Amino acid sequence: MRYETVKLILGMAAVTYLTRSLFLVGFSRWRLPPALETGLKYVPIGVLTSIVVPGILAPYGRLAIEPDNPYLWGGIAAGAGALRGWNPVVTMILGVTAAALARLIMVK
Amino acid sequence: MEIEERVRVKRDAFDLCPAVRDAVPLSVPVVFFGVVFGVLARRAGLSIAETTGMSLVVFAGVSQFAAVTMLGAGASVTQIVLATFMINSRHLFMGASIAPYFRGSGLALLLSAAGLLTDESYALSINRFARNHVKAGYYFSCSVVFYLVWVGSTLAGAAWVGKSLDVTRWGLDFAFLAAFIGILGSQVRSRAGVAALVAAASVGVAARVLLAGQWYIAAGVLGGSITGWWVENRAL
Repeated sequence: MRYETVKLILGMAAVTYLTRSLFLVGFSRWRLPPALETGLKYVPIGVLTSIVVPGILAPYGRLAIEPDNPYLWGGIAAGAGALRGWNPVVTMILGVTAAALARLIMVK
Repeated sequence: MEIEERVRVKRDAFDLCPAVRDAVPLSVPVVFFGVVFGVLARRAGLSIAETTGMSLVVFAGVSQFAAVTMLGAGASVTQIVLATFMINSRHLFMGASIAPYFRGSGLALLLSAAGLLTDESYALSINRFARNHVKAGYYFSCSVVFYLVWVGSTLAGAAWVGKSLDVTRWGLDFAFLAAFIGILGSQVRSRAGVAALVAAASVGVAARVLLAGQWYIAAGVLGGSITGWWVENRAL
């Protein structure tokens, strides 16, 4: 194992354990200020969205809203599944299939 | 009468059977994601030991997907650890919401419960505890099932499928973005949630195009959570 990877894994484990333990242990005693609690509630949506949408629309750091971007087709398919409230795994398979098909068609 | 009582007590003592019964169907996607994670981690340059080690020690799928993707894009350790913290900050809320059921438990039990907190074990346990079946054993039993399944399927993906699979050809490089879209679909349930999503998307894309590095994630999170907070408060 490389030193750099060990550092990465231990760092990830430490911050993850912090998020798991902090409120689970602490909240048997104290409460957060309500404003902070409300704001923090939207952090997960914020994180997922800001990884997903730029990853699809600008995968290499510049806007790529064009038909030969396979991620765009994958995103449209998965987004449609998510909007219909389909199971996350089904949604994922749908997105992956669309991205693969788009790439296949593009190559030909 | 006496027998009946003994049966009831025995059934209550463990809660292992209901935990395993409930955990098995939820393990199917865990196997799938575990194998895909194993493959992607190998593609990002991690060894079999490093890939399995990450699952063993971190045990947080979504952030592990993000980590290997960022690793492939050349991100630094600091950036990845920061992103891990942001992605896993959702555990803060799950921890806060399940904490009342652990009231009165010893610190050792709380600290080990924290180590096993996942989306899946949280969802199952909060559901069961709300129906007055509060048993720490249930939480621990289903958590251990998910842990073993996650580590095992990671190892299978890394060692067995490994580098031989052409992820790009099968669209698997899109797998984790597609998975996130699926999770988002189940999380965005309110007007404020939609507002947070739109704000995070706009700020995120703008920052991705305009700023260098991975800071667009932090920018998007900030934009999204402030907007969510603002819309929710205005709606009250």
